[in-house]
Amino acid sequence: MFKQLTNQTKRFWSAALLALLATFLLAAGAFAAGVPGAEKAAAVAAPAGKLHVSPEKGAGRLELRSVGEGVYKGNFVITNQGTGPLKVVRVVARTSAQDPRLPKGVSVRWAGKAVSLAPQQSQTVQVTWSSAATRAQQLFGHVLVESDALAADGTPGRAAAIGIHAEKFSGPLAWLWSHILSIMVFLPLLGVVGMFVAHLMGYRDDKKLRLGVLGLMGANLALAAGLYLKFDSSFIKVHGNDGYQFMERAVWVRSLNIEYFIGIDGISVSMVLLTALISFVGVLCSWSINKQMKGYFAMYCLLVTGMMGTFVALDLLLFFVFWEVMLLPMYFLIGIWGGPRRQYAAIKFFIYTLSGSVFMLLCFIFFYLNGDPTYLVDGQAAAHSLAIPELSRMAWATKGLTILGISAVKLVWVWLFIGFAIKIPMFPFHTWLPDAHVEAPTAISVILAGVLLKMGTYGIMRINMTILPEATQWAAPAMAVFGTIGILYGAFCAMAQKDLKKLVAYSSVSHMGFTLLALGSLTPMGIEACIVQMFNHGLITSMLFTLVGVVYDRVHTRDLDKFGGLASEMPLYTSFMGFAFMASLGLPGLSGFWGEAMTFIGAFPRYRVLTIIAATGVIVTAAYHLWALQRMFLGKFREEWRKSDYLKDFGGKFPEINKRELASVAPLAVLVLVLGFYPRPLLNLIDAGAAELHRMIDKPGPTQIAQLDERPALPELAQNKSADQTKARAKQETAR
Amino acid sequence: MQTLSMLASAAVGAPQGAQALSNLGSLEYYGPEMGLIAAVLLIVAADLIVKEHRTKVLSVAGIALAALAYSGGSSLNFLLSGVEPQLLFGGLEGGGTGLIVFDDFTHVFRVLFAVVSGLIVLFVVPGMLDEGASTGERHNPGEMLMLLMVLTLGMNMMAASCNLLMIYLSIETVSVISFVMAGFKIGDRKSSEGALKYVIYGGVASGVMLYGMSWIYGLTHSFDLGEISVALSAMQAKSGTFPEAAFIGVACMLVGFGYKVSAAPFHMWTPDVYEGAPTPVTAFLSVGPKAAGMAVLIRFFADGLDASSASDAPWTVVLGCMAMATMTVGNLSALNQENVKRMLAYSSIAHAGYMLLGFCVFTQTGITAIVFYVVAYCFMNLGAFLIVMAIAETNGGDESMAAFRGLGRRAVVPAAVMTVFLVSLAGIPPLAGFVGKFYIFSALLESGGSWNWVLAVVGVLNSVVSLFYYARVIRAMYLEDATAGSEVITVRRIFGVTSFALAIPTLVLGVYWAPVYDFVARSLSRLH
Repeated sequence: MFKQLTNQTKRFWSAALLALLATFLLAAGAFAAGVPGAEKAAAVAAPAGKLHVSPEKGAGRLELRSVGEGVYKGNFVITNQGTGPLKVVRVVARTSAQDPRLPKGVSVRWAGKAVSLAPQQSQTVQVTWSSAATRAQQLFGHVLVESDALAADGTPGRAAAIGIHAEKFSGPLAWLWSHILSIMVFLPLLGVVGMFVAHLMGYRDDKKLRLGVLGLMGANLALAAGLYLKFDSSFIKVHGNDGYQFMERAVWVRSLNIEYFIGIDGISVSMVLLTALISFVGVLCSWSINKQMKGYFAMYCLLVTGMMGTFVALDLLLFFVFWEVMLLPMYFLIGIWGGPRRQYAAIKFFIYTLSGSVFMLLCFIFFYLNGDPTYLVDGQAAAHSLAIPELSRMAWATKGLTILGISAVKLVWVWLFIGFAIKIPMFPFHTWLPDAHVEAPTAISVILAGVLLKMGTYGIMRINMTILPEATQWAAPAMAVFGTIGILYGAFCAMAQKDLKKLVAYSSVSHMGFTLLALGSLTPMGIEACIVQMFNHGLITSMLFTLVGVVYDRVHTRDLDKFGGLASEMPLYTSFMGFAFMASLGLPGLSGFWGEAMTFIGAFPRYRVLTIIAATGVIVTAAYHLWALQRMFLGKFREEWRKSDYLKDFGGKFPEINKRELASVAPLAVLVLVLGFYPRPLLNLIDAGAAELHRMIDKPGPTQIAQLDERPALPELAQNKSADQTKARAKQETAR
Repeated sequence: MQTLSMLASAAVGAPQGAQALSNLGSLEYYGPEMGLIAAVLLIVAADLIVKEHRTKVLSVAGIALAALAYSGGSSLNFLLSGVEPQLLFGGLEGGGTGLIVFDDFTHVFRVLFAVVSGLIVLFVVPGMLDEGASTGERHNPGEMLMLLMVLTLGMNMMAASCNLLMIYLSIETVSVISFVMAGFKIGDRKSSEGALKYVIYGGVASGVMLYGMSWIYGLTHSFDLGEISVALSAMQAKSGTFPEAAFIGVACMLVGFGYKVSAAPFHMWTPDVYEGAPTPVTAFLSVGPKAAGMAVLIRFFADGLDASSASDAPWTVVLGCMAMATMTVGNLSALNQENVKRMLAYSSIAHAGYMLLGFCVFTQTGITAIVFYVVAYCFMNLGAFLIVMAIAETNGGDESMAAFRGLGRRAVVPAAVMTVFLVSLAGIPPLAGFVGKFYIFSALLESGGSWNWVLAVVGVLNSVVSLFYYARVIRAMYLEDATAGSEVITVRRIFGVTSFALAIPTLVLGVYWAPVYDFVARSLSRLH
């Protein structure tokens, strides 16, 4: 490109460069010039001890190294950096019987009594993790150092801490396992970069790029499969690390105590797997996109990053960023590659979601500002935090905070819930969904129904329920009621639809109603049912949308009344459609059945009437599915199709579902069938997570009623303290 | 809770009990401004001496950039090396109260103004280089850049003044130059109309402000902000309430300040002026003087009124209402604009509202949030205006929404960069605008109380509304097909490069903003 430069422009650029150079020189001169009156009197302070804790080598958190036999060791140094003596009272791991933060087997070698350090004197402490007896593959935690050092304002300081970290993953893939979630989140971003580079280089062979994206999503799917095999489904809170696996944790923005904190547990693992699967299927469904393919796949990849990130993020701000990252690609994907009313649908989706999420942001700031002190991953004391496990330890309900005169926990719960309910979408916030689905291209409908909707329910479980269990109990009946309304309303609306895609969209509203009813029950079975339903709905609806796309690609209409007798034209397609419909209406033996059945079992003990009403929804569901099936596939084939322009190339016959389309539907169908007969693999994955979540909500235990004092109590103290707490709680009860 | 009265002794305020330096002794601390003054003179000289057009342009631009680099660089140096604050210009002998404060607050704003003005120089110079290309704009390069230097000087003074007269003088300096710059397109009706409106509005606003100042002077017998604050609190202690007369005086002054930051209901001039003025000038007006207005507002309320959310004078409510009105009016009016430049004008009104939100809590975090917001806003807003300018240049000055149709295919990179700016303006992560809003809202919620929650809720609702009109441009660029022609558009390379360079901080500040925020926070909170 430099060849094109004329002499004139060359002169201009050289002059501009010279000017720039002069500018920098002058700025540097201003820097170097003496500053008037820069001398300052050194502050004279009373001699005092100042505690400094750091790893023996390097800085930041203490990395424990393997010394063989599953034992990990590391040393850190306590130094008195002050001018006076310092008394270190004790050094302990930050964990306790009631609130096990660490995996078992962590020991800190400390004399057990107070040690006095003169200025500049230091003492080395050894931390050992004998990991043989634990399930944990990782160790994330803190060692506390209590001393008589004062805080900056002269009050007794908090215990200092140092973060400890170890990874048990070994073998050639150790690095992969300890970073697998980050890889899965950011691998698709490679696609975005690739598309941009391809554009800049003027690469024209878009079909190869498409294969590249397929490969990327395939790699992600393979990683997900690995994750499934490696995931320890019975790992829960008592095993340490707050029950999370494959964690990664680092400080992101120190001044705001924001961490890059990701990990999965029994609640999110199924969603991560689902995302990987559906995003792979989505690429296969995108084959009919031929307009601006680079832009399409760049947006698609960004969308996948956003979704994946939302399911693994454990820091609220990180969660929020991923949540919002997915908005803009979705807007473009619907708006550019969508149907006739795409602009309207795209902006409606955008505005709806954003209006929910801005309130979410306010809630997150509320959590941040009112939270209790904790420590960042490297041990720095933090007055506030946005880490979900930390926030879920705090006793929000007993803080007595109010917003605008309303009980804060309730208002925050409702705001968060609305943000998530828009995404689910819950009646009455569902109106964006049919529009978005009808206008979106097939693959995006698949993603939308298969994954995006689940983000709402997942958010409720991860944030509403874990952080605000008391408010969840308060609001559970409302959730159940709205869920039931959604089930019926969605089903009746679906029945009235002529557009097949709109029918499936409304069936989504109906099916997602089950998740809310299940969550509202707050029983272990209910919570499990919710996740099962989310997963299965993801599979089945993706299948349905893919199949709708198949017929739409052929004749560019989805009007049920225009079809009829397709069974004779496309028998294989019809059988798949019939299969998907049966799964969707909850036929026993197919996976859709489990979500609904478990919902009813879970919800019945608590909401008898609602459950019975919801169960009638199943009849309506069966009705609209069968009716649609009948209108489209049974009866007499309409002969006017033979003359249709669309079918001219195929000799007036509907072409059968092709191999690529089959490839996108078949894996889903197999899963639906397998999980229908043998749901154990899925349930195994979820069981422990659901039970754990239930434990948090149902009986806010010692980890819920937070110990405001961070120091883990000595055994005898602990007993007194818990007795004190019980008394205090009793007192509060009576006061109420 | 840290209140601004604490701040008065920390960042914003003059050193307690310190005596001002003598006029001559002050000059040592007046380097940044003297550099600008020298640049003004040098530019005039260069304009007279150099004959060849291209050389002339480059030399005056060089002088301007050098002076700005000196002003910004030395202020940055003051910040980094932690110079003791001083009161300047206390008469021939020194002592007394002084006219100008030399402190970290001033330095931060000086650095900011230098960056903004420097970017504007980059905006205007390419247009000057090709003679007779653009329509009806003046071609004498010295004129524009000299005015820009004077304007920057005025803004520096606005941030530094601690005396009502100095405040008035510096605001007038900025205003008068702005009038001239707004009318820079000779023979262009819109430009002239805008400039005239600007003059009339400015005249009335400064008249009312001066009237308010005379009330304050009458009550307190002083122009100095520190003395005013002492006198007012003495009066308040005597009568138990904030004196009504002073309230009226301050309310009148708010008219002047509000006009400067284009806060509702004193914003009426903004759209016309912004639409009529040459785009670089618009970009400048939407960032520079606005930030300077915020600086004056903060200085006056912190030092002159010792305002805090705890005081019984209803400043929180008055300013909160102003902020809400500003956001809402700006956003709602922007919804239906067909001219992108005019839309951005309304959007800048809305952003003034967000900044005011951070202001009306009167806390340290609020002020830090404002300054950070201004930094983020400077990049994204200048960037958006630059793209408008670059696109308008390629199609004969068409700035309407129609000119943006199909841009996603016709000019891929500018459209992508514009999307980044607009999404950032809408406050969506992971971009700088989101972080700015995040800090503003957390400052509000940190202070707590129902009123602040109401403000925060109105604020977030407003940002939803704002998405709507920013998305209209994005929609035009990507979702709609070009109405006229579909050939590829190439923007001037320097504009392409500059806008890309502005997009980088917009992105980076959204993902890793800690260094910048920490720097701002540290600078504003250093105790002396």
